[in-house]
Amino acid sequence: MKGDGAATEQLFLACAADLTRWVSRVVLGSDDAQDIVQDTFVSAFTQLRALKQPESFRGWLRTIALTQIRRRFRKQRLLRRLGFAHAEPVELETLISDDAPPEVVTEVRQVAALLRQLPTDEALALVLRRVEGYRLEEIAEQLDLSLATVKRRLAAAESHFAALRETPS
Amino acid sequence: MSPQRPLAEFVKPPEVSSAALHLEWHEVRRRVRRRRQVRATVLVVAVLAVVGLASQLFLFRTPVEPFAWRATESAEGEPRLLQLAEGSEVKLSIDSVAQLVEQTDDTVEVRLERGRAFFDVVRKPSRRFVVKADDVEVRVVGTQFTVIRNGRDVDVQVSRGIVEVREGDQVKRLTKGESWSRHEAITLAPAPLPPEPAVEEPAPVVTTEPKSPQPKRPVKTTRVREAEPGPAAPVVSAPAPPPPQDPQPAPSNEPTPADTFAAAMRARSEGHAKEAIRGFQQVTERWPSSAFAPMSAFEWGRLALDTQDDPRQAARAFERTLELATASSLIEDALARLTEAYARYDVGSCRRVQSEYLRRFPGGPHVRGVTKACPP
Repeated sequence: MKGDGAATEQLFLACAADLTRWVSRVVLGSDDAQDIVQDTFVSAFTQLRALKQPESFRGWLRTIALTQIRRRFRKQRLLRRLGFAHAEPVELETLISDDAPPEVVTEVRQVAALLRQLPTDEALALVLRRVEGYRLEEIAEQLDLSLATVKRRLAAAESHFAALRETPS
Repeated sequence: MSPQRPLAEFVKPPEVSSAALHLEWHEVRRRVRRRRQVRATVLVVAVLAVVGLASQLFLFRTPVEPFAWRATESAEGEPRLLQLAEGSEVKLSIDSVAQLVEQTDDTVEVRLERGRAFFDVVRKPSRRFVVKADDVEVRVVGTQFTVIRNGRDVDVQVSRGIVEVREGDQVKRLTKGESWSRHEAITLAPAPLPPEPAVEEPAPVVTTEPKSPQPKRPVKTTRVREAEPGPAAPVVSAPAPPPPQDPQPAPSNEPTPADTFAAAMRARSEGHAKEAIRGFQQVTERWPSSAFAPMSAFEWGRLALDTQDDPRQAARAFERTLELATASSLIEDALARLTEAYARYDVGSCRRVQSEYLRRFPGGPHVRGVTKACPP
């Protein structure tokens, strides 16, 4: 597999739509999804030789995308702390399907709210678990963390989630 | 922590159109190319930096080629400070040229092509520090000294420490305050000083080359002058010699500052103080803008005070030194000697100059003497 030429374009066209949908679900309403996807492909195509197993390209892309998401979330959090940015209201109307039950809509909103409050790894573990339904091992692999660390992060995130659910809206 | 029902089936991001994907692809391709170019540039720069660093290290550890380092004088006439990598310093006076011939862990060799250079050498017993002026070699351990070269004429003045001067098979050790000279007789034609028609030819202390019966052939004289009482000669700030002489200069009866200064120096070293005073005074007053003038004025004052016991004349000479000198070391010495001169006949002026010295050079080497100079 070479980094240039038609093959790369075909690879992009085959994976981009799927990755965009996945990233949009993970960041839950953030406007950054398209930028994250673009950064992910740029990073992937410049280090394509590092990919050992071509058949795992999609999973590799998601790992890179998660790295980009983490980086972006940390940067936004730092800017908010320094007063250079403000938390934007989350627009989920276009993201949640019309046939979603009310409790699902509430849950998605709560996860989206926590995504912007919790530490990045805890928030991502929560999203991958609740939205994507990943197993713990898959979360550990995607976030490049140990299983024990994922369990701790997820437990912390779930406790925040439970507290949020008990709070009257 | 029980497995949760995934929400993904109810989270439906908008579909991305094919046109949007193609636009996205073009942007991705542009950014990938740009990133590769940046990486290639960074790689090239890094390689060049490593090669440059390696070559610097290599050059530092191996002898430099002759003429690798060359310094000429700054336009303002101030001594130019050259810092060697091993810590020693060289101050080049006006119209002086020196070359760093070799610089390794074991040896530093500087060749003085012409002019005057003051050396402040860091003490390193494991390293040989050599200054070559023509065929005269000065070896140093750790000291301060000045080398003056004017054609074949070479002067060495030691301010601190010990140096060895080698000329052929002859080796002379010089200590603080001592100086060594080799002057060609033909270049030291007697200065036509008005009061006396001629200067008598000196008897050389050491003759390294037999006198030739032919009058045009240079006669080389080598002598060592012992340290003189009083403050050490301000070697750094002393005037520089003139530009290199033509090997066969056109004969001229017109005296030059260099000739007159050299003749006065020779007269002084031979004990002809009055003649030396006339020479130094002539340089000072006839060529006040010459590089020799400040040093001549100072020497005039020293001789007037030390040999003639004439403090008034000495004070006049030292005041003239202060008017002409720009280098702080010469100013410092002149102020100190001026205090001494005034102390003998003008207490008010003595205190004024004393205050001036202590204000300008509170940590100077003459502080103790200056402080005690003026009578109550």
